[in-house]
Amino acid sequence: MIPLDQMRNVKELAGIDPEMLEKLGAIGEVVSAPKGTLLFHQGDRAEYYYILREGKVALEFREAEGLANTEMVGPGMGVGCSSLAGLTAYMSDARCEEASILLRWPQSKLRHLFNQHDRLGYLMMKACAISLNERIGLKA
Amino acid sequence: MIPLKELQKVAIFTPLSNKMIEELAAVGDISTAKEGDYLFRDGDPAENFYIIKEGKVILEFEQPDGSINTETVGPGMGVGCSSLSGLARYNAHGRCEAPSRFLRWNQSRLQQLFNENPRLGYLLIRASAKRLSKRISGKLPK
Repeated sequence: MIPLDQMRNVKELAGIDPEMLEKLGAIGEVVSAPKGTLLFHQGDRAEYYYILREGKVALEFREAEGLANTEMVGPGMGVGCSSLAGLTAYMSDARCEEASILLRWPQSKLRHLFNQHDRLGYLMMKACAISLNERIGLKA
Repeated sequence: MIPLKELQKVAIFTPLSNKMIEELAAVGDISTAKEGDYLFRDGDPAENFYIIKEGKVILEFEQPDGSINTETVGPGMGVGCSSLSGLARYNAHGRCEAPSRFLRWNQSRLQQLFNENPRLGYLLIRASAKRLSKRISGKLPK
């Protein structure tokens, strides 16, 4: 359960009305992760979608030869967008660069909620796509 | 209006029902461009979302240090995704590398359609986000 106050002023949740935020809160949880925690490995099942409340997360994209690219994600941004977009596996490692607080939702529960509430799914996906669009222009 | 046959076998539409595809076709059109034409420039209002039917487009992302990051996209791929997700401006230059043909949708008509049918917006943007995620991980240096 995520308290409403944890979801206010989160860019990715802007435009979602309080009733829908409550439904989102009901299926999510707040997690704390010390510096160095690996949230997921590239190739792991894309089980959770995260929004970073506090701290910093490094997304590390790997190839067979080793680390190929690192991208830093800060507060208010989504982590594990593969999960929200319905991909089966994460496309990167995600490691906390600082002690972090994250909002977390299981993919299966999010999908179920979005199937019941189309508009909520649309708004969440739109916010995720905006974030991905901003990221795709960044130099590898 | 886009003829329905033009929307068949486009991967991003796979999750959509026939009725949704008909609704999309009704608000889109087909456009063509010559090699060297700019579809849009960085900072232009994000007016249109395109899917390449034929040809090739190079996307040029200007970096804060003045360098440019490029990505080439081909048939079946979306161009001007800023528009699909409702951003006000494009964040890249989009230039045709070959004579090209596109399916094209105006952002305001798309947003109106998504507001009337949020399920369509959800499914289409999710399909686009899936491809964007793969493109982000695929931009690794070789």
